[in-house]
Amino acid sequence: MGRFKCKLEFDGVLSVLNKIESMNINKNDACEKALITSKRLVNDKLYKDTNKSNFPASGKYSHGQLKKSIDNDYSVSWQGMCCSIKIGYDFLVSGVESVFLMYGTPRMNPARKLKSDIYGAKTRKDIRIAQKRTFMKIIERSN
Amino acid sequence: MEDELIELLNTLSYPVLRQGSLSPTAKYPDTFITFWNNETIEHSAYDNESVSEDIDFDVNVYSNNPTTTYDLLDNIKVLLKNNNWVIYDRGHDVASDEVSHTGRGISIAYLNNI
Repeated sequence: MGRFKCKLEFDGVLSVLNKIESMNINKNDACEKALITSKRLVNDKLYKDTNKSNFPASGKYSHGQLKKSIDNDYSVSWQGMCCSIKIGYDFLVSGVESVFLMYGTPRMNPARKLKSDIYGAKTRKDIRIAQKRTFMKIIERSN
Repeated sequence: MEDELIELLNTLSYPVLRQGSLSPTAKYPDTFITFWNNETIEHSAYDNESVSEDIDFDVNVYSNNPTTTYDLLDNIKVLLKNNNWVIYDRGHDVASDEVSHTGRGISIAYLNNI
C-alpha cells in the first residue's frame, strides 16, 4: 500500500472556486491551504491512534517506528491543473509495517482504527468539512 | 451481507476464513481466501430510519503458488461484480505470516437496501 493521496472534494467545490476567482484571490494558494488542512486533520488522528492499544497483542512487539514514520511533509505537488498531497506512513521509515497492521494477516486481525483514520468514511467526511471551512475562511478574510 | 459474501466465495471451492482467525499453530492451507468487514455505514435514511447502508470488505487470497493467487483473485473479481459488488480497489499486496505464501487483496463495497 502506497501513501494515500488526500483529494480536494466537497459539495459545491466548483462554485466556491469560482467565487474565489471572482474575488481575485489566488486559487492555487487556496487549494494548497485546503489540502494542508486535510493532511493536518489526518495526521492528528494518526498520532492519536498509532499507539499500543490499537496494535495486535496490545503492542507487545511495537518498537515505536510506525509513529515516527507518519508523513510530515506538507508540500503540495502540482501536475498541470491538479494538486495533491501525500498522507499516511512513509514506507522508507517503517517499511511495510503499516500494511501488516492495516490489512492484517491470516493469523492477525487488521488494526481497524489505523485503517479508518486514513480510509474511513468518517475521516473522508471530516476532510470534506475541513476543506470547505478553509475556503470559507479565505473568502471571509478577503471581504 | 457477510453471509452472502461467504456463500459466494465458497463457490470457488477454497477455504474461506475471517482475516486473523487462523490460530498461531495452524498450518496455512495451500490456497485460501480471507475476508474482513472494514465498516458498515448508513448510506441513506428516511423518517429517522436507515434505508440503505454501505458495506465495505477486504477480500484476500493467499497461495503457495503466486500464479494461483493472481488468477483466483481475478475470478473473485468477476464473481463479485456479477453479484453487484463494487470493486473499488482492484488489487494490493497483503502481508503473509508464512514466506511460502503470496498474498493479494481487493477492497469491495456493497450498497444494501435495508
